[in-house]
Order: sequence, then C-alpha cells, then structure tokens
Amino acid sequence: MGNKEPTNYLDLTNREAVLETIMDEYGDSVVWLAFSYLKDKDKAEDIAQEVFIICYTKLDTFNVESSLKSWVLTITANKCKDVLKSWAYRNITFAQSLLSTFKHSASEPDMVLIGSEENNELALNILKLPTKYREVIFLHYFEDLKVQEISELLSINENSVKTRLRRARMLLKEMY
Amino acid sequence: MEKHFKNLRTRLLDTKAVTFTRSHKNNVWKTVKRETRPKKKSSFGSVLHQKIPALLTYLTLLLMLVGTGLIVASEIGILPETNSASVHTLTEEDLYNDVLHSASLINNADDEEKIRSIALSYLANYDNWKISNPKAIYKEQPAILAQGRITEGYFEKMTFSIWIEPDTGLPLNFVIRNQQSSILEEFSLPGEALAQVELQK
Repeated sequence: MGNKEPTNYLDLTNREAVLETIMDEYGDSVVWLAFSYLKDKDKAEDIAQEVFIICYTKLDTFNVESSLKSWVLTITANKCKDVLKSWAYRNITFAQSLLSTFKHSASEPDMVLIGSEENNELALNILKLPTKYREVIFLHYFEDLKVQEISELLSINENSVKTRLRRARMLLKEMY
Repeated sequence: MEKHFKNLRTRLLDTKAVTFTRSHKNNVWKTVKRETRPKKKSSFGSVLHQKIPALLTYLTLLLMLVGTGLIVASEIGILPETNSASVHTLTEEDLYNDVLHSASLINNADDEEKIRSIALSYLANYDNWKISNPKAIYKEQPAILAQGRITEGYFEKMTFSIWIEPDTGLPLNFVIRNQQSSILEEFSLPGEALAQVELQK
C-alpha cells in the first residue's frame, strides 16, 4: 500500500489535521479515480470535494486497523457508482451523447490534454475501456494497489480482479 | 503492454486532464467549517415558524377529538338536550312590546282596551317587574310568567302576576294581589277571544 500510511503518524482524533493530510496525500488519487469513472472533469472535481467532506464527517467510522487510502478510495468508488446509477446523471449523459452525435462522429471524453502526445494517447485509450476494466487498471497501475486490496475495495473476488486486469490489458493492446 | 502502464500515475498526471487544486481544498474547508459551525439558537419567531405545522396538526386533532367526544356524549345521552328554539333571551322590554301589540289581535274592543291598559299601567316601567319564569304553565299551556309591584294609584303597594302566551304576547291571565296574597283584581282573556286569535294565526 505504499510506505507512508498516514495512520502511522496521524492523530485521528484531530479531524482537521487528518483532512488536510488526506487532501494533500490523496487529492490527485481521488480526483483521477473519479475521472476514470465519470470521464467528466468538472464532475470529477466536484466528487473529489464531496469525498473529502464525507471523510471529514465520517472519520469516526474509519477502522484504525485498515488503510486510510483504501478507505478514501472506497468512498470515492462508491460515490462515483452512485452518480453513474443516478437517474439525473444517466439522463444528462444521454442528452450529451445525443449532442455529440450531431457534433462529432465519435463520443470521446471532453477534456483538454497538455501532456506529451504519448501520455495523452494513453489517457484517452484507458478512458475508452469499459468501466469495470478502467477501475482495475486505475487501482492497480495508478494507485499501485495489490490484487487483494482491489478485491477488498471493490468487493469482488481476487480472480475477478485478475481476469479484469488481463482483459483490460488485451483491450488496450488492441488499441495500439 | 506493461511498458504502457509503467509509471502510469506520472504519465496521466502529466496530461493534467484533471487536478485537485488549492482552490478545491479551500472549497472543502469552507463547506466543512460552515457545517461544523455551532448553530445559532433559534429565535422565538423561527421556532414558532417551524412549529406551526405541528401545532396546527395538534389543534386539528384536538378539535376532532372534542367533536367526536361531544357527538358520542350526545348519542349516549350524557349531554342534556339543548333545543336551540327554546333558548329564549326575551327581555322585559320585548315582553312589554309583545303585550302592547297583542291588543290589536283582539276583535273585542273592551278586551283590547284592557290589554292595552295592563301593558301601559303595569308593564311600562321595567324597574317594577321582572320575568319570573319564562317556561311557566298556565292551564296546561306554555306561558311566560311576569311578576311585579304596583307603586302608585288605587292598587299601590299591591303585587301583580301576569301569564303571557309566548307566541302572541296575549295576556292569558292577570291578577292583582294584596299583601296577604288575596286576589283583588283578575282579568282572563275569554276562551273565544283566544280561539279567534288562534284562527287568525
């Protein structure tokens, strides 16, 4: 899980200090995981803020024996899945896809990429993967989580995680 | 394929497709501080405003309960029957006017004059008499009994009683008694006169 687990040095009763730390440590992780689910920059940033507010208010429910990062990412994943399932989001997405049908031939994520061409292409290709493959790719390669940790975070068995990772890699390979 | 995922974090962050900035952090802090700020004690007005729907609900329920209770009490006979028609707020002045005007109902001039003189002589001064029993009975028919004292004239210091028919104001019987309760004078409207009035109604 990484070598600087904040629970080793943080006083969890000091909620303000915990919030400041997790926003510094996991801000990018949370916003990118949200982006991987929603493929919408503004929505991902909104979700990230909501996740940290939830962490602050629900800190009492955090199990001190477990990983703070896993807890934050679990909240993020669940929050994003709730949004994806919500009636409003599905209808907005449907309306946007209709618009994009008229505007562009392909419905690609609406974003501005300023990195190297190779990195931009990689980002676009990962975002083209189906959600269940995107999430494992992000958690394994972006967050550096082990298969067992992903299994616990997503509440699926380890073999499923392995299968999804394998399938995701195959799909990406086909894109190049 | 693995080469694509090597340093995936660094490579994706490089695209800056999405970022968690200082501004986002500040928004989180603002929300957290707003939500954890101790809430002001509600003023009486705002408390009342919040409680109004509940109060109205309680009031409605109370009214329904009282209403149901009254209906049940009425049905099982706990409450005395109140006949709104019998609620009579007749005043001495009303009765005087009724008697005075009832004279016109009589065809017999002599009786008519007597009734008018009873009203004017004994009932005109409301200080000297009062309605003793608004639900009296005279010869098995409902009547209003009025009693008073005579302050001047031939029958000074005597008392009188008059039974009046509630509907018409006709004096059914009028008596003057002395201090020993002996009847000194009496006037009864003849049965024929009453029957005639009854026919005219």
